[in-house]
Amino acid sequence: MKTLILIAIGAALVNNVVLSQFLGLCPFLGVSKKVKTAAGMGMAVIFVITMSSLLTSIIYQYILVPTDMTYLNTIVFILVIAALVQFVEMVLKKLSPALYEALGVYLPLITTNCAVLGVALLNVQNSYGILKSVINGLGTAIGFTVAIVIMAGIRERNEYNDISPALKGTPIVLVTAGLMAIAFSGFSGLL
Amino acid sequence: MNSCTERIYNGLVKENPTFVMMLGMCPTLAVTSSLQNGFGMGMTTMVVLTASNAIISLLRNIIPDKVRMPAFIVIVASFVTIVQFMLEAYLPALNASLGIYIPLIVVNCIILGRAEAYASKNKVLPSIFDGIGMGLGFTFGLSSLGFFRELIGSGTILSHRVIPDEYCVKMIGLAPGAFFVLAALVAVQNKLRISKGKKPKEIKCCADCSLCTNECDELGKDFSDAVKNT
Amino acid sequence: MKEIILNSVKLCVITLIAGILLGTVYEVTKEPREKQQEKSKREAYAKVFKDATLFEEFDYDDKVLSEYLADKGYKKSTASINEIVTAKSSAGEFLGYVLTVTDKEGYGGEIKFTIGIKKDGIINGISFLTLAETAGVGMKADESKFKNQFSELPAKELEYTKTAKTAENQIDAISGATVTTNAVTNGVNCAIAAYDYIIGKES
Repeated sequence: MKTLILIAIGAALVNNVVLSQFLGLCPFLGVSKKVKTAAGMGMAVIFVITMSSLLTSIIYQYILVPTDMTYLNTIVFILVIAALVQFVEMVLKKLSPALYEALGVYLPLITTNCAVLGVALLNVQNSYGILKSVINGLGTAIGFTVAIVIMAGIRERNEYNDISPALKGTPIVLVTAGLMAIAFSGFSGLL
Repeated sequence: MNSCTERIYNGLVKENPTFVMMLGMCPTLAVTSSLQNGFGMGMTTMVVLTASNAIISLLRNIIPDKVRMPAFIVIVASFVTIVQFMLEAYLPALNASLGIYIPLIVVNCIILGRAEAYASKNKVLPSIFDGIGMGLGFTFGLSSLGFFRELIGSGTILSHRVIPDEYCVKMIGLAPGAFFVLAALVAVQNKLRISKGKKPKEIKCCADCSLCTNECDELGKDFSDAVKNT
Repeated sequence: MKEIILNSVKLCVITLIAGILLGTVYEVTKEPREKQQEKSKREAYAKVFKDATLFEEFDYDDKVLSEYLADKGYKKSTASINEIVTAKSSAGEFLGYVLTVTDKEGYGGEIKFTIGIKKDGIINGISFLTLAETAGVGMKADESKFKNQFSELPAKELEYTKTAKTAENQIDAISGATVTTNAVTNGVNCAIAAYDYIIGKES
């Protein structure tokens, strides 16, 4: 139990996926203009990363390891993730239109979010079992959501600030991300 | 051959993936804490990009339009794995220091973006040169970022000390520094653009990376409309 | 419908060819990759035991050792011994042991290193195989200033100190990299415990 909590905290805060591992930067910079959209993106990412962590670690443990084909993991994982995203989209559309409406627009953006593949590969690299993989995936995704929502909150506030024209837009967002990374590095004392 | 040199120029200068298109941000920030890593990552990406461009262009009439994305992903992922084997066998030190970012080349926007925007529509030879050009542009971008971060952050150039340890700004070599250095870089470019009367740039890669081509602006707009409507 | 089937077939063929190609490359590069790993292992052994030329696998029961280590507080989830070899001079004279240790609690993931312990119970030195710590901070573990502290210390449980070292069993921490220092020290202590186990077994 203690290791599971440590894994979750480590993934969410200490080794934050965006701010210290630089995975999933595209959506982090691109979809963080409004808190509402950022939260929606975050939810979709939590959903997909948790599911894909479960699926990829099951496939790794029960198919790739027994058949001695672990070297195929990159290609298998990316295909599984792409298929999973498509599948989730279809299922949500049929079963829960309300949820689809909330998450639907974000789903296609997630296939190429490198955080999803990154987590699947990290699970293998750290030789996590299935439960640990899911916890690690969930923690990572929560870390992503926390970071993107905070970022959106800050961006909403400095939208109307008087910023020098050269720094407006992307540069100020990057500076904000840098300051957030400094703040998050303080969490390393937690472990 | 003229179109080939044009491709190289295009990748290095006109549509430079790092400085102009701002693609592939994850490896750009993650592996540029030293010049050696930045250069290694750039070259590795170039090899994958050139090979996948060649094969995708070769198969452009065979791959069905509807399933082209999965097909591209399969091809790119195969090359990434092959390159990973090669690195393990012949350059283990580089492989160890780039670690997980090697398999993540699969989801690098540049590769799927070039497959979609160029290789799937053009002949083999120009596609190969497009890959080389883009790859060189990416290598140049990563190397220069790596050079500055290594120089300021640890005071060394290719591990040879040039600035005494006491005068280094350690933070530049760490995660926050990556953001700051890139911010400074974009700000300088924006300053130049503004003085020329052009609009400052935005990060384009907002939507699906594979769609990240020149038409991305429109797609980005579609996406933000869709978001607004929900 | 026909189109869907045709598309899937084409996609399957592409995937199949890619898979076969990958398998081939895997087989072809298998030998050089293993050689490379073997080579880096030998080099890491030689680094921590300069006067030895022969390294022979040391026979031990992994399960018993893990239990012994867990008893001493080194759980498999934190630090573990991968391999033990004996170091011998070219004349075949026994010089000591080289242990390969993995500590999972580094800042950037696993830290793997070899440690040489001479037969008189003095640490000969350590050398890193995997070290993915932060550049300029945790990576300093690989600089001689930190690494060489372990050389010539008696193989008794060590501790790190953030102020200057005062006792023989202390080493100076890397400033700003407590996590890395802790992981390396813990790994070394694990190796020392394993060394005690070997000695205890032999006598």
